[in-house]
Amino acid sequence: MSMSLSACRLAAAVSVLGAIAFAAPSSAQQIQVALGDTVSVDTLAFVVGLERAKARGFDYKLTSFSKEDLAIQATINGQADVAAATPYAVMQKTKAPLRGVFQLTRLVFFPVVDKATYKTWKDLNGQPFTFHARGSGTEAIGNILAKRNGIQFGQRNYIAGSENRVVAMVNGQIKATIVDLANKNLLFQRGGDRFAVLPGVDNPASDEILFVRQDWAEKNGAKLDLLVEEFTKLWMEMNKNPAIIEQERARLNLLKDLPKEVLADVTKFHQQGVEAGVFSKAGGDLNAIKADFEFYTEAGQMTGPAESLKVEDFWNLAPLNKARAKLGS
Amino acid sequence: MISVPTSSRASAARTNPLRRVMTHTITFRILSVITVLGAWEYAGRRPISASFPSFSETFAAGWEMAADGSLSAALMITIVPLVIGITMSAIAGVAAGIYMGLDRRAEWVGVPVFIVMQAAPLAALIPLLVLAYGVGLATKVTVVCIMAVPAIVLNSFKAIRHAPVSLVEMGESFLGSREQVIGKIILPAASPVIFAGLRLGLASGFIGVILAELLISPTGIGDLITYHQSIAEYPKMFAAIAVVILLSVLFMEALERIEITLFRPEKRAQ
Repeated sequence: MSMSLSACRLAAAVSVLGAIAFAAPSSAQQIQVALGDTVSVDTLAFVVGLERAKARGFDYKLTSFSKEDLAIQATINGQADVAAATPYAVMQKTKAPLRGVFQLTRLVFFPVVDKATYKTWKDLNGQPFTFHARGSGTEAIGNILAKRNGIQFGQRNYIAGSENRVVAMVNGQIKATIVDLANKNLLFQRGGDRFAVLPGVDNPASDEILFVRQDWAEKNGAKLDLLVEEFTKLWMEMNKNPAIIEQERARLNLLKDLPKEVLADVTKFHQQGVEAGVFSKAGGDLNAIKADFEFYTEAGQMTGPAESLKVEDFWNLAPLNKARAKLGS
Repeated sequence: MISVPTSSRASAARTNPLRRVMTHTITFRILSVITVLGAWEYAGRRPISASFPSFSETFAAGWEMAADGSLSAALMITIVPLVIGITMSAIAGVAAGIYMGLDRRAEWVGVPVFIVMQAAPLAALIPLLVLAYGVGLATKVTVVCIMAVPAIVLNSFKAIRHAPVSLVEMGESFLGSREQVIGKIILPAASPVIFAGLRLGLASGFIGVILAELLISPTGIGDLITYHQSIAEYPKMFAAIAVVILLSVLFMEALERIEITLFRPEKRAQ
């Protein structure tokens, strides 16, 4: 009896200690960063920015999530302080105390068609079109372009992943879709002159922004300034010299487990990204934020009209303005 | 001291209408549902998270989706792979389970396969299934089958194997043929556990079809969940999830009714 009582007490003690260990943060000072994507070549610049900030005292722990929504939820619920995703819809509809601080990437996507079937936007009136998913950025871009060109799509199909849509285009299963930069190039490599790019949007909206929890930002102003300054500096350097990301990757020994063939394309990826405007030069400003409001209200993710939305409800531009003043940009 | 006989007390309980209502099974079920929904309402109003809606918000969002037809349209899409997958799994699964229960060699060959299927992490296998069957109906039906079949097969197998030995021996000693022993003793004795397996298989099939719709291509209820999550319409997202749970419970309840009506005359009066 006493044995079993002791065993019960021991089990209870272990459970309590386990619960405390699980609940406690790994380090009191460590800043929790959530990334709504996997760490790969696509998100390498973000990790380089964090590592540079770390060298100046921004002690962080990065958690990579499979979906953007999970990174946003982690931040809303207080498990992360800083995150990279697109939280506009959540910010507006749940009034979550989050604020954008830096525009990381923009939605540079390309409408591509099979030339034998369609040549202009007008040819696509009433015709099937394939997007990533319902309510996704690709569908939002498609809706905006259809509206601007005075057409309406016919059957809407959904295939997740630009790479899968490229396969479907090459196999002739679909004739019109929207793909990202890397996959647009892949499509033209595989399909030769079978395909054409139709005119897209001129001022792309944010794809991923760096955002923070307001209560964390209020208590950690100096850390936030440091982080935004490092990102501003790196993005300026990258726009001048896209090879900086690969140089920094090698110096910091990042993504060391990736195959050499993949790593050989790091500079090419960033070069093409800079040329196409994927990595914003300014890190966000009033014009970029207003373009986001217009895009996301038209896409149905935010409730408009766009003119009624206040920048200060979604962004905290003070750290970025400080960084620009300091760096002289 | 006068002692009231037990039968008198029981008849008093039967005749007291208030007591009869308070001790009825349905009263306890309703209380259970009210407790869960009350806790949900409290958690949503507190709120435990900015994105967690209360039950009343979720109910209103569900009502709105039912009224505009989006819910029924999504259900009609989700139900197709589910019904095909569950029907195939039920027929093939019960047959395979019974065969393995009656034949040792079939057991040795078959049971390990179904145990591995039950233990396999399905979400990790979905990319392989997509490679084999594409992104269409075939993959979704396969996912439903992979989820449902092990529970149905293994329960049917165990049900047959655990048929009362004394009854089987009695049948044999009365010179019953093998067919008569199986049809009149083993199968009736096994039917409660076979139906329990079917209910578990049905619940697993629901999980499978939603997994397929979330991980392969967003259609039906899976599309409602992902779409409303992407535009932060959390009450509608939770309403879609709640509808799946409700539908799963209703299907399982219907299956239990079928079982009682067809195979369990002793339970009908309860």
